[in-house]
Amino acid sequence: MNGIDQDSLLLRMPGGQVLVSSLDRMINASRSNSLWTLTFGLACCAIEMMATGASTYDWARFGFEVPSASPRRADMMILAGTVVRKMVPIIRTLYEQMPEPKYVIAMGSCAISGGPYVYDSYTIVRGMEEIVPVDVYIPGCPPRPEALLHGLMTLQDRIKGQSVKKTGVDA
Amino acid sequence: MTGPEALDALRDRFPGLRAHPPDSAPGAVVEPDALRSHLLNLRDQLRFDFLVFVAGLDRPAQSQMELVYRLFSWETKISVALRVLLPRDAARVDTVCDIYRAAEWHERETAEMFGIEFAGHPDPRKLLLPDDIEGHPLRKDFTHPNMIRLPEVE
Amino acid sequence: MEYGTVLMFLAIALLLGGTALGVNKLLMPYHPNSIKNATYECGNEPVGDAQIRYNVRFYIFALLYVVFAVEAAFLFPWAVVYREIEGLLPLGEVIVFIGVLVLALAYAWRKGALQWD
Repeated sequence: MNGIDQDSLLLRMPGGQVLVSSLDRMINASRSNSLWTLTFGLACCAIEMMATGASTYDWARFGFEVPSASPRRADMMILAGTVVRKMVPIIRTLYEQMPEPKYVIAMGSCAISGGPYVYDSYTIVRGMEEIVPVDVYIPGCPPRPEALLHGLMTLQDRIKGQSVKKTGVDA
Repeated sequence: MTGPEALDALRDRFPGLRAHPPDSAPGAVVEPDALRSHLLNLRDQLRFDFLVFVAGLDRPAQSQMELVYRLFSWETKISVALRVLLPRDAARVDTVCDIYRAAEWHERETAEMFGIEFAGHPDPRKLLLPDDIEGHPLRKDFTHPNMIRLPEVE
Repeated sequence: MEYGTVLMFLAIALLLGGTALGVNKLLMPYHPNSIKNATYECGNEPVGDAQIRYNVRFYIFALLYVVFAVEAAFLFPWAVVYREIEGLLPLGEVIVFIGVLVLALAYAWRKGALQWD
């Protein structure tokens, strides 16, 4: 469970490393080409996210076919919009309820750093990295659908660099 | 009941009815104790069946807090605004949730933003603000340690 | 009958399924915690009962379906051997069989069990 130990028999036997790296490529290709998103649209960036899911920019051709409202079958969370303090426990709970492997994308300036509400706001959270660990940041206010697709492809590249071998951090 | 009939009835009931500015809804100031009876009369007799909003205004210069209850009638298509003036440091008025259910959330928001107490409200939790916030954000003298002021451009 | 083929089929099916689940078990990330196992309610604390009350009409339709699906299942072997038996015996038997079930259907119809509203 949780991967293959670095000093296991499988890795020490002849051909074991090749087997594991082929397994890696297969698993990473499957994961990166089928990332179902937990669309956490909170504000205006949600509209750009919906546009990305619609027909002109269509993220379904990359495999993000099901924008699932439930965290239980979601692979990644796109947090699009402004985070207020009242929303923080909800975001954290939903992030925890996603099964591993899970990834987080911060879309838009508000999710990255508080956006235009950095000054003079009494209830904003200045950046969602205070709540959940973020994998990809997509700057913009709001980012265009092409920028969101570029961010999603960046996430796909990051996933392709992962491995089933156990490392010091969680898979 | 038609529009002009409703307006005449309103003018009979509220002598000081006036629209200020002229193209907005006519409004009248009512006493806080008479608010509920006025709303009941407007809802039942004059067919104002829709509470559009309950809003607050902070007037620190006159040391007053003003509440505006805007009503609309789907039948006569007339809007009216009832205004209640409350003392700023002891703003307290009876709830109208049993007259208009829409007031439940409007009163919750006004209470948390201005500090006005609505006596008898069935569910006085905070609506939009986190539970541990101190102060009332829409008051004119509100500041919060979380607010970073925009630096002045020299 | 080639029962050896059936056994091979069964063995391969179990092997395939078992391999998929077994490899998954070895390689999957598994980090349970109390929030992850909690009931989902859009991020809030779950409020109220988790039991939903179903309309009883679904139960009645399911019951009727089971009866008539079993009847259809019994008609299939009858249809296979119908040719090979001489005389009117198979016909008579199936008329009795279906007749009993038609009576049941008529009773359900008259009692209004087939009405949705």
